[in-house]
Amino acid sequence: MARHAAANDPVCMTEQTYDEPTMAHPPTMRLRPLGAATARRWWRDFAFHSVGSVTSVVGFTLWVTAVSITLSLLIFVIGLFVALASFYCFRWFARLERRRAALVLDGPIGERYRDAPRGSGWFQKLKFMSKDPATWKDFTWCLLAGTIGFAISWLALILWGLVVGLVTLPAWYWALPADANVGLWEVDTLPRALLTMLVGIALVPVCGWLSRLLTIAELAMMRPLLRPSRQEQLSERVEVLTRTRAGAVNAQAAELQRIERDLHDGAQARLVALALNLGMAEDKFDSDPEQARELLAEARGEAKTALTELRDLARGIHPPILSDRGLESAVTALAARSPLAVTIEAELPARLPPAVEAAAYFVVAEALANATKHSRALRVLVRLTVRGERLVVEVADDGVGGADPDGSGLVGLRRRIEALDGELHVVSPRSSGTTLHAEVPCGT
Amino acid sequence: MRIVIAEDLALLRDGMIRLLRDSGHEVVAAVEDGEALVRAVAGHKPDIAVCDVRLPPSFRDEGVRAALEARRRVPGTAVLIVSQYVEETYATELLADGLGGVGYLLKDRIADVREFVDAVERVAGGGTAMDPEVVAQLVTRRGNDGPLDDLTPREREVLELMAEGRSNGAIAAALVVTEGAVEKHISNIFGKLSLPPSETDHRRVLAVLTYLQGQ
Repeated sequence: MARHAAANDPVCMTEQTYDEPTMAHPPTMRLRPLGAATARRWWRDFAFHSVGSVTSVVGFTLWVTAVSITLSLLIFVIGLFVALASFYCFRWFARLERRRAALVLDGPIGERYRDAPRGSGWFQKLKFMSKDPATWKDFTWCLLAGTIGFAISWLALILWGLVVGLVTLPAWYWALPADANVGLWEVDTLPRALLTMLVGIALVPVCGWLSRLLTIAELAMMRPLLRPSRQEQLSERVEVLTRTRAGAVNAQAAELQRIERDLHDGAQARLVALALNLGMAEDKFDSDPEQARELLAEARGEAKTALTELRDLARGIHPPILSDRGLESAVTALAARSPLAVTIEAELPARLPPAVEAAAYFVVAEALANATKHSRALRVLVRLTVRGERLVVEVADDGVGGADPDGSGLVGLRRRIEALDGELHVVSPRSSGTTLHAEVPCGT
Repeated sequence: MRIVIAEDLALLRDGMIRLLRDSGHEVVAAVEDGEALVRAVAGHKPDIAVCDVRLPPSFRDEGVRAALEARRRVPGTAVLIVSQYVEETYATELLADGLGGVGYLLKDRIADVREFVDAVERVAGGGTAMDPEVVAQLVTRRGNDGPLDDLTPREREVLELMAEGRSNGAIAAALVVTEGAVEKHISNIFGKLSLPPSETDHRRVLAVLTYLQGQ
């Protein structure tokens, strides 16, 4: 989950990722032989409805109580308090239902609320919440879950109860009253009970498909109410992109400025001195060969220093071994240069996109530099893995912790990572080490 | 000595040709890319190939690959890699076959004409020339643990020069001490690091570098 709530944002956002393939392509009903996958899906449907049978009662009670108390108290100021509390209750219930939906979906459902800025008074909060369409969607879902949702969940449970009853009939048919009838025939002997059991077994897939159908129907109701609308998702995406793009542009400008300054103060100045020495040596060549020789030696010294500085600068812009051999080798080289004991665990495909490799490299470089300079760490663990479509970089040290996540180095890194649509987290409690965790989409 | 050069920058290529010719060596071919290097080595069978790491067409590490390929095709060819930057990884790859006649230097070192020519001759003669920077990388890495800390500062200097591939005479000259003193330091170093004594300079370099790399 990504949290990008900044203090100066006019509106605080609660965000979640929206990668929900199942929601984008709702589950479709497929008739196919009963396999492990089908059994698992039916089991998930069953869990979904079982939990639903309870939550729907909670939802109904909540809705009726909240609406009646709020309406009756609304003429007093305290009614507004109750309204705010009700809104929070509806939100709590919606979150509960999102988690229930996750039982039958591949990922959690994203949520998005427009809350009042942190530190606002209760009235301000009420104003923001009552203007937020998400609040009213929660309100609606609470009612729908308590009525239609209740019916759907219980219907599914009753269906399963019926089938289970038929299948287990041979074990308890004797307890039935003498003229008990399953609709087709009287069940008074073991063979008839066994026959009924066969019917029950034949009904298992029918029941499975029916409960699947009920799940799909309920999800179809849930989707527009529990999930942010397409427009909200897009507007949020635009906000994130606007912010990260500005960050990337600023970071790039700052980086160019740094390079310019380094060149100006470093290699360029050395070359001026070198040219000067050469010119003087040329003048003295005939009159004072001894001094000319000294000047030449000095010039060579300047040239060597300029080369060293240029090499360091080039490595800071883009380390050669990264383009030559890829991330793992480059990180290994970084580790070799570090005075700390660095362990590398890498599971990477041959090559990743250059921008991703570079960002990951600089995360490790910055983390190692910080660990060396500030943390008094002895050991560092670097882990590079690809999970799904994301490159995950983790660097953990055993130092004193207490790193400032808003220090200039880390802010620059974060911008670099966010420009690639990634995330950077720093966990650094006092006296228990620092962990940098970066994730970048790498589209492998 | 017969030399093949692979370097894509004309300025540097011409400079190296002039420098090596002035020192009395014969540059039999000067090429621009890795494939041409392999062909030139196969055709001319030179004593040594001097080549850049970054060569066309992809400007990555063709130089190292081509040099290793040339060495595989014509066994016994010495190779000296020169580069704008040094990486221990490449040094390890060059040394991997355990045979002598490899070198890996920063291009900066070409400016120290005499030392550069000395390195070329040493490598062509089956010795080793490792850039001080590679050695420094290795020493930094081993900086935190036992045996290296037991070395005296002078012994450390000797160790670093030895890792670069210098002979006892050259080490003595660099530190302005007698060869006898250097020999004594070296036997102390081998004792403290528990390394077996080695007969040739190259074996000695390998032993020291392996020690520095070993974890």
